[in-house]
Amino acid sequence: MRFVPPALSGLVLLALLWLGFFGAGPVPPVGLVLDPWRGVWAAAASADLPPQPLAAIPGLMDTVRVVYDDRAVPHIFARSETDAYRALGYVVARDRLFQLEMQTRASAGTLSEVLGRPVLEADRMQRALGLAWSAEREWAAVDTASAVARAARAYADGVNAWIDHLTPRDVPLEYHLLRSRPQRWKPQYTLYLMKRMGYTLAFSTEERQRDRLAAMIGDSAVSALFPVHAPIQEPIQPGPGPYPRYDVRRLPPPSQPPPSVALHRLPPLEVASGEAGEDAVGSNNWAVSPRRSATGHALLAGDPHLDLTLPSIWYEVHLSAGEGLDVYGVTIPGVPSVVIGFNRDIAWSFTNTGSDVLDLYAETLNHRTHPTAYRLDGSWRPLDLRIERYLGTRGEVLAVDTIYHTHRGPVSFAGSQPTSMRWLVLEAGSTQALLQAQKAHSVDQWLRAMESFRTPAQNGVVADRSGTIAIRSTGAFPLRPGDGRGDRLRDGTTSRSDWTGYWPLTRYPFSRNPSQGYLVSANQEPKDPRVDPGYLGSDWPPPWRAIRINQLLAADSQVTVDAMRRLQTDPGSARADAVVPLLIQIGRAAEAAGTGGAADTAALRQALDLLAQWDRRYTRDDAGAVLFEFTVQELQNRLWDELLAHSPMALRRVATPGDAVLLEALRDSLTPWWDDRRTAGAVEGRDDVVAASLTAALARARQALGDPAKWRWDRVQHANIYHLLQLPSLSALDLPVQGGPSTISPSSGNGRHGPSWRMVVELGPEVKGFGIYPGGQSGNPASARYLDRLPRWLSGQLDTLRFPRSADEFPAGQTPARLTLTGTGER
Amino acid sequence: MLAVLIAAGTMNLGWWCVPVLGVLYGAARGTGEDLALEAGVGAALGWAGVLGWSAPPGPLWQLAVRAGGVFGLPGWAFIATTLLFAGLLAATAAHLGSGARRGFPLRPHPPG
Repeated sequence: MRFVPPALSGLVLLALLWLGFFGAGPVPPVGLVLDPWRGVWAAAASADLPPQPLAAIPGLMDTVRVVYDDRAVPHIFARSETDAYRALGYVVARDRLFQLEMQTRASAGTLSEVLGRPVLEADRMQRALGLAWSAEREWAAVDTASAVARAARAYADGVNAWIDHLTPRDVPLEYHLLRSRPQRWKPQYTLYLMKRMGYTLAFSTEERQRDRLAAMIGDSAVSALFPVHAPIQEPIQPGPGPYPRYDVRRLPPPSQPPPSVALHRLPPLEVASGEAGEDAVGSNNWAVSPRRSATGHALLAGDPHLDLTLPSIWYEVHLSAGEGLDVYGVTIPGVPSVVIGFNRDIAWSFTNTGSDVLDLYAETLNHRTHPTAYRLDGSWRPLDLRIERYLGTRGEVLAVDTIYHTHRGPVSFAGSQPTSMRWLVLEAGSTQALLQAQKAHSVDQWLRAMESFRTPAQNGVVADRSGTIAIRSTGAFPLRPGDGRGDRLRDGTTSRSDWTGYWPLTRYPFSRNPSQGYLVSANQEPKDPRVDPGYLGSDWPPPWRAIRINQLLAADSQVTVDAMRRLQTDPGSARADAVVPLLIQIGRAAEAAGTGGAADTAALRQALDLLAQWDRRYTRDDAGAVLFEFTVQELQNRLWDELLAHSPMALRRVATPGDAVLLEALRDSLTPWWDDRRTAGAVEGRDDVVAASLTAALARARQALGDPAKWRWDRVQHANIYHLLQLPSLSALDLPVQGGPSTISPSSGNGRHGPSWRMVVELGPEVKGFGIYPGGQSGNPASARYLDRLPRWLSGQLDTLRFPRSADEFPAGQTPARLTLTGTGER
Repeated sequence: MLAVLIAAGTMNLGWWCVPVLGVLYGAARGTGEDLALEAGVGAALGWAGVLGWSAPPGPLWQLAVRAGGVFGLPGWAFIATTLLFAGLLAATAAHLGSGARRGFPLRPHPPG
């Protein structure tokens, strides 16, 4: 330095100070970030829970004891429910503050305030849907003395008690990276999250896709390729059987579209599937009667398949209070109740019903860009307006939107035809039911509590200590005029298009103590249409997981907890069992006919031999699964060329028919769908296409993975668990998993979805629970509790869940931390 | 001594104490062959002390790896960058402080 003029040092210092305070471009303020006391490094100091702290929460009536077990699960012992919810808000905020805020912002469409312009379009979409708008409206209408209002306010007290006492050293790492600070929590944010659940599980605009497809291949072909009722029946509500039942039909040929359907009316291509698996988001649950379990007690299993994120969507907790609340399970940060779990008498879990609760209506407006009214029953009705203002990270206004509403809901201007949307999620709440259900002491009480659950409709399986098991698809199922279907655009100019009511409870898919001794749901069509042809939804996912679970449960009359656990990661595939024999049969015929040249025949023979040797199990080291999946992809690409459309980026498939339809096509060598319309002058047949797909899959696998001896399923398919900010270093990526498309533990597409919580419960004299989720309780990446459960989740293990009756029941050494919460006056 | 002061200043006031203390150190020392180096090393040691004192090594390393990855740095490099930042701040500030005391000579000061 002695050879450096001081002025130069001054310049360097100035630059460092500038970088330190303001950053440069994508570089955040370096001083604020690297500060070893208040910057990102502070996250290391709060990585472990302090052993014996005291904290105060305004409004707390009595002292609440929180004991963390060796799995970092807080056991909250309070004297009243509201105190338990205050404590829950506090401990969740302590572990998951950034997640709480991000989830809320995602629902509210205010992500741009922390992430800037790149997420503006996502915010606009959310606000156009009106999730936050409807949550605010619902909150304004909630009785302030109701259980929902009291729970939400108590929860908010707890979250804000943590936020209000945050020191700079407690602020989660992500806030430092984003130059942001936590916002206070409002009670209605609980409703925001319930709306978000609705968005995740019950937002499907198949009308648009259907219209686009009808314009391409005609309405009857669309109805065959995307049928209302599942062509393979394995219903949730056991029916006349036998199941599975294949309702195979002949596919009608693609036809010219009707003149009324014009492509220009349709919005730009929104969805192009074929990349993500059909059941990428789905779930399983099942229950076993005492007479089929080894111990003579009812058993229940559940594993919701959702976005895999870090931190996890779930947070494990035990809530114990007076007033009948003593429940263990997983909650969603922001929701003041256990969503899936068990108490001293019952256990329950959900899968998504997938019912259609969203309809689109073609509206006639009085002006294309600045309408004030819409046509209804021959007169003009005024539109309601909602102004949405989007802010950037510095509080600057990024955009302003006007959202128009008819009496049905928000209006979309995508395409040349304005459409309004009626969506049950914007109208109904379900928090009350969850609060009540967790306190039920029998199957019947639980079913009664869930009667008020409206949306997103769920297949709730429940079992109790008396040995009763039951399942019911619960939610509001709209009744529509005419044919009752909701998968087509309806005329918005008449109120005769509107919903006429809802299914009565007695019509809900339901079963209690069936003679078969077990109940299963895996997102399949809940009721056999031969029992009730009423419209609940359309294009149901093939019931492969349900078929497999049913097969395995039917084969085991002495089911154990461990058998339930193994079943949750079973690598077998009912889909492969159905499709592979057909592929081999067709392929052998093509081989015998000498399709293609000698080289092709040799390749075809090798592919068929490999498939024939395959045990149809998606274990990590499996080779056959690689070839099969590549073959199915090649087959779909060749078979469904009629469904290709130009998107802004490329020629993509608008939608991919389900495997059940693929099976129908494979069984029909004469269907014109086998012909590739892109090859002018040639007419391809089924055997040609299957043979070409097999040889192409073999070549592709060889190119990607080398010699077949080196093929492994885990070189092709991984689970990817991304941090909420999509930052790879805070994520767990390229995780080898057992399971593939349509296995009970599914893994497909980009690997971002999967079993988000696996639980098995035995309903004996003392209820015993076992569970795991990928990730850990803490949202702090420096914490050992951030990812500690991942290895056991990957290997299919379950942890024993501790369910003590009092804080003093914990053995010494199994309580790494305790927390005492008092009211503000007592501190 | 400077390391302790910088550690205490950072913990009580903020990272910006480093250049302030560096300037003061340079101004107080006036001249010295390794004045800037001493200040830089002192600051780095001060921050290393804060890091070591404030958190156990396990979470600290975990954080270095994960937060470093956000900036495309391996864990060790993120730690090094942190200490280097403190060191550079203190060194340049001390040099500036020393120059101020000597009336900002246009040429570098002679050895000794």
